[in-house]
Amino acid sequence: MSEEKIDTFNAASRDKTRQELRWRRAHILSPFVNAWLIIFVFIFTVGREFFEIGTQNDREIPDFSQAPELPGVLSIFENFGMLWLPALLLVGFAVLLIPYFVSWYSYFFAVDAHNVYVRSGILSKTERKARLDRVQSIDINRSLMARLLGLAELKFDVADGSHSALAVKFLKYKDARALRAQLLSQVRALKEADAGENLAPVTDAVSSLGDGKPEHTEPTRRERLREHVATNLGPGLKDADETPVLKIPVARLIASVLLSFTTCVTVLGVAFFVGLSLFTGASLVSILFANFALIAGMGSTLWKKFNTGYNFRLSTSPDGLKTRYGFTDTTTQTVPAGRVQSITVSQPLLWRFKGWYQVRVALAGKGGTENTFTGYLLPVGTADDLARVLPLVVPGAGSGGADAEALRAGLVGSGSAGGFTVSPRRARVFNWLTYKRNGFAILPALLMVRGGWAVRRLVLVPHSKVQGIRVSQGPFARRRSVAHLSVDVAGHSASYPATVQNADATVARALFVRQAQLGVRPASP
Amino acid sequence: MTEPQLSPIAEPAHSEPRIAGNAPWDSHRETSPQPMPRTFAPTLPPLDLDGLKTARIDPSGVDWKRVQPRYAKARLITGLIWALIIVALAALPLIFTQFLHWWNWAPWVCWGILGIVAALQTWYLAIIQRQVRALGYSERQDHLLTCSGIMFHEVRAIPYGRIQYVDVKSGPIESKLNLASVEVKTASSASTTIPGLEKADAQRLRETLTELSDAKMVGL
Repeated sequence: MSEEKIDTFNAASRDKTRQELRWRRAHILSPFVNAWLIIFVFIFTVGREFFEIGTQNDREIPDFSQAPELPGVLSIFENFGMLWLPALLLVGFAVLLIPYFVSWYSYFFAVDAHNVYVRSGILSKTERKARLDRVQSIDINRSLMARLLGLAELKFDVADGSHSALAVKFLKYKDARALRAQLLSQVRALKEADAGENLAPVTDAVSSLGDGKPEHTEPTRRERLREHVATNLGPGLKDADETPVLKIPVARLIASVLLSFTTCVTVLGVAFFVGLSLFTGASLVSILFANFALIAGMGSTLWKKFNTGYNFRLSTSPDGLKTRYGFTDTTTQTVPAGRVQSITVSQPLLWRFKGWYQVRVALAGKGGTENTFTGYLLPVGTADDLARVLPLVVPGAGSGGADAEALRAGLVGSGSAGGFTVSPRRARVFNWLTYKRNGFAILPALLMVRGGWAVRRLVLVPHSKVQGIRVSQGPFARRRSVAHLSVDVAGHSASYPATVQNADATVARALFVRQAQLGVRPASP
Repeated sequence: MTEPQLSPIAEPAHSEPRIAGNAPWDSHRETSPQPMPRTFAPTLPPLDLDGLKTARIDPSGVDWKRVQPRYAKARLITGLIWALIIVALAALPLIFTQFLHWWNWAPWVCWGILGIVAALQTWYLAIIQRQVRALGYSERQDHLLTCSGIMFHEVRAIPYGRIQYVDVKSGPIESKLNLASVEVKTASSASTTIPGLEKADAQRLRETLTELSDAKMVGL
């Protein structure tokens, strides 16, 4: 673990360099972002109260022009005259915000050539440190509230840390991007120095950041406006050495969400309720209200799909693949090269008419408990997009990976075409529809597992990422002489397990042996 | 029985060192490591079917080390405690209806629930001995193999290089019987447990596995 919790009192005396750190506070508006829930509830309650007072004529409107007799300390509000109620509400609001401001007051961060530090807490101080040479990615996250206030959160993902990463929150968006660019170059320099390829001192890289900027000429108003839009409003965060690969049009995303299984279920469900109300004569509103939780759940699933695909763009950079997306919340995620544990390509039934696909990867140390990493490299894309994305993560035919023919067979094929081995015919009692599609293919660098009839699915697992292999057989499978083989992979593969269903038992045993061999000694060129 | 697109046991016409030659568990850990196949095979030879037909799914040539038979005793004691609790719960409808007269369930429902639950628990207790006998493990050259189950049989292989940590655990009953279990964790969410080892054996296994995983560690 490269993150440590240190008691500051001991640490300060122990570590001399600590004194030279320049501790900085987060942006003064940060408490408002942290207290978004309170702000929301406050505005909602107050707004509703005023709205009701304004609309309900039949009720006697209390007289707000004169402050009533207020007890105790509150009597000072009588001095505000007509404004006593807003003043009282504001003070109450401020009192609620005090804890957030106190925690902001005691929150510091600092950066030096090798580490990022975050110090927080009033009574029990904690200090966390992330080593820059272990940092895998630095992402900028912006929640809706942060975006309204022009702030951003800087998040550090640390190698082989399974628990939540270090985050600096919040900074001005511009500062966050500047700091990110500076730290990224530091990270790169540290890693290069580590690798021994380039032993240039780190300080060079750091100090070179300051100068080297071109002379500033006074920008025109139009340029300033464009820059403001680009830096503060758009999701167009982009590093100098990034190459965009693709972006998903909003229209296609909406169509893909509408064509999803969840939408079908929702539509059918609502149709069922409408029919029920017509049939029984019960009020539709009351039926919908009674099933509110169900409908809300469906709606939230659809919303999540939309939100994680909105304005999705994928680009390549020296740190790996970068994805950016989000409607309420622009999120940046970095997929470092070589950390992909498995790749899943899937095609839901209704997408087949459009020829759309989805690509999702599992990363080590991400996923599982941490739901923030979605792993989508392509939320919805055409075959062309697929052809552009897959080579970025799947080893090519030249290095023992999949060629186009094998991929096509894995995506849409069935039977033994493209080097696949499918379930024997006697397994059709278990998978009547998919026994010709459930299969696998071994390539020198990859295991390809294919399955699914309605939702086509192809899982690609590099042999070097296999954490364990299991072959299992139940009593019914034994009667039919078939067995399952599954491959354990790190990251959130729970939703798409790489399992070969109902393979011939002899084949499953041979595959088990082969897979075990390839896992420890890959057929390297 | 047909085996589609897999040329059966016939030797593939490869003169190069074949990847699918010897299974990694043909040689024990103690023997010298096999030479690595340095030649790059653009297409792998067909899967090497060993001609054992479909009798079992265990890889051939593995002699499993079995766990201590007295582990069944530990399982039996825990199983018995649980069985008593569950049967007591299942007897509640009967007690409430027949003796306390709080509920008014049909007698056959009460007796039926109790009977089914009691029969299931007896069955679970009866097969413990068999289940424990089916547990096994084997330390091979590059892998730790484990197997379990008779009706639902499962064989697992974990490469030593992927082991992240190894724990030795011992519950109160196991501890009384001088037994311990070894839990092996990899980066994936699935972990493997080898229960019912002699405490000293468990320590030894842990040390061996830790050493091997350090020696063969590969990054993620």
